Amino acid sequence: MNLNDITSHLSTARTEYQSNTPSVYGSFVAPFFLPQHNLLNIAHSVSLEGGRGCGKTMYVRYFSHWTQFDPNRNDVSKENLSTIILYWKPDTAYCRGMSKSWLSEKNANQFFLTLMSLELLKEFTSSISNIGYHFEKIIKNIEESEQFWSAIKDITQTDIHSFVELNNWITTNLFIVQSSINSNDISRVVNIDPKAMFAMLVPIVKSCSELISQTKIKIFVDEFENLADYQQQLINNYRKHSDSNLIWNVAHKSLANISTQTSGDEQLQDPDDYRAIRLDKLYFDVNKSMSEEYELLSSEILILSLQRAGLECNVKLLSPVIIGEEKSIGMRQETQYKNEIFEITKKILPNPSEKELARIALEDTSALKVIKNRFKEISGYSQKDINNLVEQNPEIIVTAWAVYNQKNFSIADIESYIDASLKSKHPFYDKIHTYLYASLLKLNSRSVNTNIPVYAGFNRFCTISKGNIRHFMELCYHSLVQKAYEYKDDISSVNEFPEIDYVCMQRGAISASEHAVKEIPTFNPYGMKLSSIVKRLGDLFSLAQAGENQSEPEKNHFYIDAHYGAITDEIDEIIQAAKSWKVFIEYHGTKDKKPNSSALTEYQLNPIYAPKYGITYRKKRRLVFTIKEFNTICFGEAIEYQQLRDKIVSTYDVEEEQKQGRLNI
Amino acid sequence: MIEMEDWIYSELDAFTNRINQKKYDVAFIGEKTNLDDRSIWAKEYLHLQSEKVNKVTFDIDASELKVGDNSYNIRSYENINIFSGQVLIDATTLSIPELIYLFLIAKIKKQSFDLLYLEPSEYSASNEVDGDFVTKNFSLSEDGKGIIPLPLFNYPINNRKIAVALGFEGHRFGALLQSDEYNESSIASLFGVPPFYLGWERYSFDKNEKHLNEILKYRADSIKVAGANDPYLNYQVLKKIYKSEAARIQVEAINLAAFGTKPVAVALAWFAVNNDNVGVLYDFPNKKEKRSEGHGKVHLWSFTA
Repeated sequence: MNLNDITSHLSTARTEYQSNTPSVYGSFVAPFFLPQHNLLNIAHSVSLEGGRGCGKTMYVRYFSHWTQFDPNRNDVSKENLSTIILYWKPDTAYCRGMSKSWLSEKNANQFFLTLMSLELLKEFTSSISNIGYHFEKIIKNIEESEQFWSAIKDITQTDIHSFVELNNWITTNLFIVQSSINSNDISRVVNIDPKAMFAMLVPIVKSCSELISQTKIKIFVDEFENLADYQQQLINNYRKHSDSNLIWNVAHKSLANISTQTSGDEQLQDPDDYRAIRLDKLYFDVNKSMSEEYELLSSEILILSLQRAGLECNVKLLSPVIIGEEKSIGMRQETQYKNEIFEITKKILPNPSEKELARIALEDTSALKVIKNRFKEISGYSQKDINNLVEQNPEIIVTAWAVYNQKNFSIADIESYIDASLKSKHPFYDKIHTYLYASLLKLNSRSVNTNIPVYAGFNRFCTISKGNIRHFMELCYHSLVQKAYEYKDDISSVNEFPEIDYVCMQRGAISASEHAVKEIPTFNPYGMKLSSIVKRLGDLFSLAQAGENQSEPEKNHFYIDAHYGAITDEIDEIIQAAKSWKVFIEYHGTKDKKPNSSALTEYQLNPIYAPKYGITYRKKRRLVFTIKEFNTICFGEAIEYQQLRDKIVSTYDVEEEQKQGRLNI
Repeated sequence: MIEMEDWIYSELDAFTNRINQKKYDVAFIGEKTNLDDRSIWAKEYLHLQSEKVNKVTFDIDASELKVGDNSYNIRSYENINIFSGQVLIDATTLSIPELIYLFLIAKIKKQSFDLLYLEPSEYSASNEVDGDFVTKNFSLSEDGKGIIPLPLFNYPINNRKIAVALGFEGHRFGALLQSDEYNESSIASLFGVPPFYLGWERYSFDKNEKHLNEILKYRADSIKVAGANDPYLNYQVLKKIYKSEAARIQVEAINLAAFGTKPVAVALAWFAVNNDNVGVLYDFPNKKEKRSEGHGKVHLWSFTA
């Protein structure tokens, strides 16, 4: 296949989870934390939380009967029957539309509970049918159980004797529910309470076969946060009173506005009534350094999607089936396997070192001229010596260009660094370590024609995506699209996949970033506001980085300098929304902070937005805003923002052309 | 059924020259009548032409239609008596929820009415430099409540075709796709061509390009074209989609969402009250002040019930 076919496959794969059955067999990569957070084994009710794109839905679907008893599996054993997870993703817009103010409390409750019962009954029959693929006897016994059909008759008030009839009955009654809602007439709607329904059915089904006599049933309600409050409360009633036969669980976006209230006066408490599993923290804890686990997982997912697009792969362990199994985890932690995987991904997405980036920077004639002139001015070196430096140590000369007017800068330092054979324990080494990357960003922002690939490389993609697999795949996808413009050869295996050039990755990262920024206005209900805040912060961070006279160059996070109590509700609400949509990533700061000060909390602009604004994706230095300034960034009119910007520009000593930068934000 | 009987489409001057007497007994207008030049004009026109002018808003939280000083829960829409004599409804200032309920009440009460709409001469926008080209950054509305089906028009999303009227605010369409419930393959988009002014179609294309690309992957015919100021033609397009859906899912059914021009929203509201099994989704954006400028052409549609 050629690269175009592969990218178009990757592109549709991004949305295919919507249309197929809920089974993720062959497309799930078992994360290493799976054994500790196996949804099948956890005895209490769970609330599975995570940001957008962290894979909540996939995680639940993996444990659901759809994947555990997928008809294509040939490794299902009796042990799999110990727990059966039913998965319910409600049609949340439809449910939210069933408001009490329109339908009355009584009717709204009945419509919702009946809808939930019908859909869960359908899910229950699907689970029986999926199990039947592997244990024919079980489904046969249930089909022959008079007790079962008699219970079904009690529930449906209809004589039903087969699963086909039952499913038809469900479809008909779902249709009656929808037409009755709009005429607000409950007379034709069956009245079923889901808990009572399961209380009746589960013991009967369990008695049909020894194999399932000890089985536990769990129900997972996905997208819980998008249900109306009263609907969440109805489900909370069931969560509060889960028993060992039937455990109710929910999955929702972290930090979303969710109700912990039941319909009565009771309150749900973590950990008494449920345990929260914070999925994105498990995949990637932002307060820890980059984990090898995340790098491995993203590699595996990239290779797996290339395989699913039709390419071969010669790493045996990395097959769509094996990699989704818990038992593969041990083997995947072995060094040899990891090396093999990293070798493939790093070959596809090579990672230029900063020194290499400095060399690339000096291939740009306009950058080279500026840097050479400046260096000549400050060092008095001959043209020949400077050329040597450009040739041998591009990292030194590029760094010097950016830091020459710092107080402690001296040419002698550079000379002693070279004399010491570039030893890492030298002060100038530290300077390079701190300032080289920032110098490269600054060079890029100087001229639209300079495009040093500062975002290129597998490791950088991992840091930019920060635990968000969807973002990682977007970065790869857009890079592949760039490569596909020029590369037309046939590709048959992952191992012979062409190397993506730095420049393609750079353009790909910018393009993925632009897409991510364009998506922000769609984040309900504060999308427009968040979009304007990101534009303004992107602008301020890029100004901060362009300044001439600063000692702290890479900025992409901030804190608000105020007493906690002084943060207004309005600002707090926006910050919560930004966190919930992962527009901001929250950190708990440690240094030089007063207790009870909001400075203890720092917010990083999600690094996926960095390439669009040409700023750093690394969390290095921060900006500080007063409440008033931050309020202007969030809510200020264009003119007020312009004043704030002007004030900031004057403190940074930004070059004139960059001052004019972005208009109308 | 309500049907369109007549359609006057005129330059504003020619239209206003014909004002000579109070032609209507009661007129209905949106709550915000100082948003822009045309809503100010609409307010003045209604007061000149009608004995009585009532403000109408729909409060989704309370499910209440507020007409003048009275509030009515929409669940009892059959008992809402607000019409008498000759009726004028202003579509310039009213949004789709109010229009749809006014149409519904007119249908039940067999009340004929005229519907007024004034096009703008411009929408407020700033230029935005995006890479190599300059595009328009329209500033028409602020964040709303998120997408909610309207009472009386609430149907499931799954497996249903949704017809989306597109305009300059691509993010509102994007927000719909964002919630995973709406499958790209189930979307038919109504694209307003010709637009109010030739050339404007490129803005709606530009603002929706990303999402259009997504839905085009599934069906090449998922973009339907009908004039941005032509409710009649848009109605016919909806009818076609609705009928063709019956072949697929054995029942005539569709969901509608309006993010485009008002004349297309009129078509959606009109279609929804005339047909069974039609869902309507709306995101309740907060319209910005000075969202448009100037006066364009004026439409007066006459409907009979």
